[in-house]
Amino acid sequence: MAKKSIHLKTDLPIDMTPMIDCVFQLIIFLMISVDLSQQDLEDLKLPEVDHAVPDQNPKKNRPIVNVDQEGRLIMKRRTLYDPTKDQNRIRFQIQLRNIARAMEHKMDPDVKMELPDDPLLLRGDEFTDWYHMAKVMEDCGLKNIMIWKIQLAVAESQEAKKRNEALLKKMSGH
Amino acid sequence: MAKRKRERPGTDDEAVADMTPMIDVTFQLIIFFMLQKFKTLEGKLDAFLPKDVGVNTSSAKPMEKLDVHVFLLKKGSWTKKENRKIWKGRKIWWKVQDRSYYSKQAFEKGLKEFCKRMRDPNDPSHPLPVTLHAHKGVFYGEVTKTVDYILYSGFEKVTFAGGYTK
Repeated sequence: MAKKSIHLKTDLPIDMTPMIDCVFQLIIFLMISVDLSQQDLEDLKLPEVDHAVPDQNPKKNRPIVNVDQEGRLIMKRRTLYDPTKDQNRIRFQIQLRNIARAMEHKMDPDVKMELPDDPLLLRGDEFTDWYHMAKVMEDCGLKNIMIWKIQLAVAESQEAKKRNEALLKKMSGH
Repeated sequence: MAKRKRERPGTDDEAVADMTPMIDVTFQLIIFFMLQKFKTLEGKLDAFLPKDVGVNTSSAKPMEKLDVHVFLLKKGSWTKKENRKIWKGRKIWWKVQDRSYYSKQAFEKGLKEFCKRMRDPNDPSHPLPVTLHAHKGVFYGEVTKTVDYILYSGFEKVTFAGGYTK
């Protein structure tokens, strides 16, 4: 009698879960890597206003100066000036000068000089004394810096949020 | 000899809990919450610094502009929360040219009137500049709110004046 061959009939379903998981992990990893620019933003409570322009698609490498309640100047997680420790603001001014040098310059018809044409984003806590912000602006106006375009970082107020949401609803309804 | 009980294949396998999906989901959640904190779209208010100051000796073209002053009226009191000072009961007031305003509504109304008066009917697109002077004790939040009111009232270009004292 011929030996009966054992034929293992096994269905092997391919488990897609690990692959999907890995894909998600990769997507999220890439999202975070791209979002590394957010490390420029210190954890500050920005003032809320009603009519701010959303800060969408800012220019790459736009300089961001964070000013906390104590007047510390922080750029890319580095404290460049601490009023309680530093005697002067030279470290911050040198940094600003390097940033201004790297900016695109344009001839200004009013003052007949080449001036940096890129803006600087100034972020402060809502209860930061304006004095500290004004000092940063003073530094921006120094010789070899001359940054004159400033953007003040703000947050959207609850009232504005509701208004914008209602507007979006209205638009999607049409 | 006892007859060995024939076992069905696979019944003696130990049930092993696969931890992979749980770890994956946990990571997904951690990353999601990390992103929640940082992924916030902020707003901005455009402002300018005077170009005709400092080392620059060239003369600027004279133009009609509005001077807005922000003063502190009531300092208020503060409490500390999570290493931040939270101020309450503060009041500011504004001076536009020779007029004083003590409420947001009056200030906004006043600005709109100034804007209407200054706007050239023959050239409505001509930008109306404002110079903002923030005085001693005023906070960043109060200045940004003032800039917001100014821009909303129809003025286009806000420039900050220097010479602030602590």
